Amino acid sequence: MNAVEIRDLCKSYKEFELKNINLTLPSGCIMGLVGENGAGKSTTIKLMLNAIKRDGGTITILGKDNRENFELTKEDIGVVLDEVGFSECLTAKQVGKVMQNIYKNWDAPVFEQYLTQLKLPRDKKFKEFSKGMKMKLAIAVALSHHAKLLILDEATSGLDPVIRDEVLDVFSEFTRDENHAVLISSHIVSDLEKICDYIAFLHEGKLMLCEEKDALKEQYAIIRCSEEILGAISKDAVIGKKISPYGVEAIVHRSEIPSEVEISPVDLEQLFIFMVKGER
Amino acid sequence: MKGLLIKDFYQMQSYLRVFLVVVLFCVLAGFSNQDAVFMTYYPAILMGMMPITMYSYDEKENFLKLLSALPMKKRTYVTEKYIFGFMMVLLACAATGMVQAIKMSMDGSFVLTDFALIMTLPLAIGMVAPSIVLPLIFLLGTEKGRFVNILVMAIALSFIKVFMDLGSDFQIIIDAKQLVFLLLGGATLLYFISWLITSTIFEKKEY
Repeated sequence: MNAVEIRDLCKSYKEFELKNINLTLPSGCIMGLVGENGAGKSTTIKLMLNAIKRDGGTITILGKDNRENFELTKEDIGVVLDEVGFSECLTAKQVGKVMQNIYKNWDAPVFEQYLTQLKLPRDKKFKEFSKGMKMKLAIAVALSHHAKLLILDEATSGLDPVIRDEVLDVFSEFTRDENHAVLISSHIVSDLEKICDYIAFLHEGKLMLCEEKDALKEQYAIIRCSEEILGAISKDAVIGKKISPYGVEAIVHRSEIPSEVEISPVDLEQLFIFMVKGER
Repeated sequence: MKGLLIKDFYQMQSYLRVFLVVVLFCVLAGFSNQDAVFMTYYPAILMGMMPITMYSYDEKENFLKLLSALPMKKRTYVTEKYIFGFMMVLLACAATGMVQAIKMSMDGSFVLTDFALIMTLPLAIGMVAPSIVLPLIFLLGTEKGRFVNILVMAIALSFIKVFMDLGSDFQIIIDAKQLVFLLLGGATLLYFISWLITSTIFEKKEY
């Protein structure tokens, strides 16, 4: 079963438009939703949570339309937002008690286990938590009611590398169960590159691509050469290029590059930067 | 719903200790002062406004955004605020009622219908004020709604003064029992209508 299916999703604001988004997240996988600030990542997530009304298209979460009895489906969804949303005066223990009475499947021992694993104090007020601790508490909550789908909106932004690594490990562990899936939005591409199976790339409200990460790496490569050599390559093969006094750097379709031209593997960050900023 | 109520009680304990001391002071002032009828009503008004304060905290602390991720309808959140408010008014009325009952018994003036009438007014006014303010706060947000909040508080307090002055005249026209039912029935109906309006407003709001 697919954890998330989005078809032709549209939403318009005065100065921003999300256009015909199509993406599928199979169960057992992690999908990274990448894009610059304002690309439409948070809008997509809000639409998925039915927090805002869509103008067109369909959204199916865990096999059900997200406009029909969605409060029941949300029992199976763990969500972490960049502004966590817990009351500043609550302690982790109190947050647990509140959530215990909100989620039917709340598992207090599992929550306790995550508090220990993520080294979170039980009796310290939320307002005294660091940004990293706040995010870890939100993650502990999201994982303590036996969710099948995790939706994370910029959950790793603003965290130091050590905590980010810890958190990413937790997400990888979560998807060991093939009924689980994670959708994580971030503009830190390196985080997503580490853990994601699928990458969806949003730019100015448009979905530029949505593919398996390994397939992207197989399809695209980077070449560094002179302008003359690049000129000899088919224009259709070039995704984007940057010209400097030292030569040309270009992202290309691997399959369309002559064997004599030396190619290097591309990382996702390079790919997206070239797609957005590189000349064609 | 229960989780939301627990959250609000935790928040009240933490943020509003001074506020609760003021309410307690008003309750006790009603005991010590012969002319402190106003103090009998004031706690119910203050406590009735508690869901508005709680909504402000939810807005400020981004709980409203988190709400979209929680397994509940938006209407449940609104209902919880109204139930919380009603519980607060009842609490205030119970405290002031206890004080008034002791006071009336001590000076030998305790008559059940009089006592019921005295306690009906704070209960009714405690429900009327949030009935007006809550839909506006949900519609306009805390910042813009603050002015409305102050205005309604002022009107509610003025109403108490006018009602106290006219109290005896009312009792000539209709008897005490009728007045109790009229006030409570009217306030309950208003509270219910207010809940319906706020629920509709909140359903349409996007966070």
